[in-house]
Parts: sequence; structure tokens; C-alpha cells
Amino acid sequence: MGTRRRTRRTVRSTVVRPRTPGATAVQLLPHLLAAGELGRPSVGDTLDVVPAIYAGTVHHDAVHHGVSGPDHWVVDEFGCVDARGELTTIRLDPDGGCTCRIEVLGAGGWLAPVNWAATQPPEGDGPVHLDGSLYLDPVLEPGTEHGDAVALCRRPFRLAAVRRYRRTLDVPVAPVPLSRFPAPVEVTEDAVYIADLVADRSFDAPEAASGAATTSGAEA
Amino acid sequence: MTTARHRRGGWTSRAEARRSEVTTAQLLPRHLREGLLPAAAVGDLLTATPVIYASEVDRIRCRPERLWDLDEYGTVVACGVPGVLTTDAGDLDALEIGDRVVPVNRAGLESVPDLDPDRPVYVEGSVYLDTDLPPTTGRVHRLVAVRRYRLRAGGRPPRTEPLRRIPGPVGIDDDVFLHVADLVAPDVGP
Repeated sequence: MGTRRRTRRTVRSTVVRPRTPGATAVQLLPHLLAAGELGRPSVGDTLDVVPAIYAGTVHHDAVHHGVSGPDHWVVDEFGCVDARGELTTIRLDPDGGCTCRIEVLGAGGWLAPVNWAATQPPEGDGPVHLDGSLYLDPVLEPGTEHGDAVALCRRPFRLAAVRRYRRTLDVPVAPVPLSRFPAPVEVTEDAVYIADLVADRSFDAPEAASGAATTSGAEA
Repeated sequence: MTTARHRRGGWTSRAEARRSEVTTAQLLPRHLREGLLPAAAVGDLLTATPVIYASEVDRIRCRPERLWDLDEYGTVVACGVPGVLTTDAGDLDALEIGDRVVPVNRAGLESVPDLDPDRPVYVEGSVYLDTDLPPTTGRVHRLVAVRRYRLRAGGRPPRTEPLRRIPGPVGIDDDVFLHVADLVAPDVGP
């Protein structure tokens, strides 16, 4: 009896919506949408963006007996990322007196700046394994100091889909396709907004990122 | 671009995260009784050198190569490369964990295993506020909390008592088994 009821409910309410092949899901944070900071691109548009990682957990298994594990980059349909790779520090202001830095993770062919607002960052650069969420941050737009420092991480993406889920304590549910980024008045904190991005090309010169723009000096 | 503008940008880099990090250091009873520690109140700035009093040093084995885990009692587990910190008082043993360099006091070690030079080591111990090193070694910190932990009868968990300042030499009683101070960077508000 119970089985039959569950089956019928599933058939009625679940809409099978396959993910766009090759797409990377990126979270659109409600407070940024509500402030109008992410613009209102439509599905099919090309976005020049730098998806960044909001780090949740730093795992201590990046190096085991002196051997670092293979690179790893997995993003699920909700923009949750699990990545293992090499962390590099980039100076924001190489010529000036500012000690500002930004850390970039190179993992599995991706280059993504990491925001440590929610976790204690690892000590120093080198192999790192972390998970968190992939999101779009207006701080990294071109023309800003942060955005110019991470120019190598920027590449054109095709906006393949935009979805709104209902936020729950567990997995987001009830996806609704949207035609473009929601307007500030439509945005609610009870929703999870996801954009599917398809990269038009790989990064310009990933190997240059670890040579030219890095510093390994002590923090002030 | 200034550091202040960088901080307002809404992006938390490692340096930003580090700036708001709390360092909990133990205040040793002998230092308190002899009045060697600065009489600072919560919110004050003080010049201090947190030092690791190592109780165990070991090869890295399967542990992470870089680790800094300091709890609210001032006990620490750290992995890093042994180094030297040059000060006015001479060279000090230190542990380099990424860009963090912390002096290490090895007085409490009974034995140290054969360690490969330049290979990471594992250090377990406590962080305390040193009073013997010259003040030029220390860095300016802001004192954000002082606590003492008092034994309770009947094997119950110890009682945490917040204090307004680092206590003076009088009134340090024997039921209190631990005093700690929480330190942050000086530009973090009181």
C-alpha cells in the first residue's frame, strides 16, 4: 500500500529535467540577485565570468605520506563542488604597497578563486582538498582589482539554463526553469538559484598562472 | 589600492581570514604568581610572543604536512617544517607552517625521534605566553578575552569563568587549573 502511494506521488510531481551536457552548475546567491549585482542575462547569452569557490570544508587528506592525490573536480547539479588540486596565491597589487592576496585553486583543468569567509584556510599554498559551493561574485568582475588579478580564471560561458529550487534543510527540491536571471523583486531567500554554464573554451594559459603571477613570500 | 579597501571588497582571502583568527594562549601559573605577565584588560593591546610548549614531536607519518589546530584551552596540534627564528636573544627553534612561523620550546620533551632535516614534523603541546624573550620578538595583539577554568567537586566538568583582565599576582588560587587569554590581530576591533 505504502509503496503504491509513494510511486504515484513520484510520477505526478517529479519532472525529469536532464542536466545540460557539459554544463557546470553555479549558484546565484539570493542577496546578490536582490541587490541587482549579477545583472539579468537570458538563457543562450554568453557570460564572461569567474566562478569562485565559497569554501565549506578543508580536508586534511590532500597529501598522504608525502604523496598528493590526483586532481579532482566534481560539481553537482546544485553547484556544490568537491575539488583537489594546487592552491596558489596571487598578489592583487604587485607594484603597490598593499599586502592583499587572492588564492586560486587549480584543479582538474579549472582555475577558481577561493573565498575563505566560512572556514579556516589551509596553511600556505600547495596541495589542498576542499569542498564548498561554486558561485558568481561581483567582486571578481573585470575592471575591479580582484577581477583583474584573476583574469586568467575568466572565460566565456554560454548560459544554458537557469533554475529555481525550493530551499529545504536537505537537498533543494522542485526545480523550476527560468528564462533569465530573476529580477531583484522576484528573489526570495527561500529559493536556491542555479545557472548552468557551458564553457566555450578552456582557460587561456593555465600553466602561466602558476609561474608569472604567483608569490610565495611570507604574509605581513 | 589600500588594504582597507581590499578588506571592504567583500572577499575573504587567506590573509583576511587569518586576521580575524583567535589565538588562545595559556597563562602559566608561575608567570601569574610572579607578576611577569602584562596587566592588560580585555580590549587592550599588548605585545606578546605565543610559544608552543611541545609535549610530543614525531615524524609526520600519515598526517597532513601543514596543520594548525589550536583549541580554546590553548592546546595545539601542528604539522610543519622545523625552522629557526632569529631574534635579539639568539636563534629560537621554530615551526614553519606555511607562512606562519611559531617559536617552539622543547624543554618539556623527554626524547625526540630521529628526524630528517627539512622534512615536516608533527608537534603536539600547548601555546603559552612567553615572558623570557625580549619584547622586540613579540607582536602586538589585542586581548579579546581572559578565562579561567576551575575544578569542581565530584568529577563534574570544570567551570569556565570569564575575567576582565589578566589577573595580578594575588588571588591566584589552587582550584583554578588553567588561565587562558584570547588574542587577535590589533586592527580587529575590541
